[in-house]
Amino acid sequence: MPNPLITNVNVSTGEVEVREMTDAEVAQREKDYEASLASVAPEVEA
Amino acid sequence: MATTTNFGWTTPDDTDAVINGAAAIRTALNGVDTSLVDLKGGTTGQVLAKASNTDLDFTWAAPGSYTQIASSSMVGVGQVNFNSIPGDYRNLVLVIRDWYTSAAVTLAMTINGVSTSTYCGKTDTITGTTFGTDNYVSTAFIRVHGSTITADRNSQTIIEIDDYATAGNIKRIKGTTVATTAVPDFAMSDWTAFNRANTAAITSITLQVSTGTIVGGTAVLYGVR
Repeated sequence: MPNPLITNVNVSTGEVEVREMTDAEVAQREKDYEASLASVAPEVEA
Repeated sequence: MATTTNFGWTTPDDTDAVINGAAAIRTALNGVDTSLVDLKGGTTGQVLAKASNTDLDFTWAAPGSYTQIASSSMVGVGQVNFNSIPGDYRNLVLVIRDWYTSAAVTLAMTINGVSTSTYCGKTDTITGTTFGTDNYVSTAFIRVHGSTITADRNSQTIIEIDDYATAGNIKRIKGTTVATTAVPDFAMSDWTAFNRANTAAITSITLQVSTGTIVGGTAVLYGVR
């Protein structure tokens, strides 16, 4: 099964790149999500 | 032929014959006329704004007007990136229309590609007649909606990022998502979020899902003067 597509829009130039996500990019988004599931204690000013 | 210092308008040389003065005056004023053509026009209440980075390239616009600076289909993609966002505007507004996802996961937004920092958010939700509040701290992303959307529910999300081009302060990011739902009739989430550890000017915005794809939707980025 192919990886999902990724769209990169350069706002300054208007150039648009559409390509398949790399395995590393797919792994990164899953890693980001897993990391975000973990609760992070808010910082409290001393 | 002599020219003016700043605009390069052609003027007669000191040694030119006076008999050619009429033509010289006409040439000089035609240069001014051409250079300042963008200043002509406009209507009551409009303000002058730069149309591009080119010298003397102006346009008349309503105060606080929106300029579409990028647009992208989200159909079938796992991630959409708006990169190299110019700092030419006061605020940014991102409008996402008719988005939904293949899996029941959050539509996530990341700023400046920073997914190792800390995003904080408070989301108020209404689902039918049920009210809720979700406070979260996320290392990787802002939640664009308080619930998931896995079918075309005529959703609309509007995200406002004020003072995005200034470095050195935390950026308040405010969004609202509305959608119909299967049961009950509708869902809405209204949220405010920020990245507490990143004070850089915002130059990129990423929308993505953690698994599967964004099945439908269009994202349009506006610059606000």
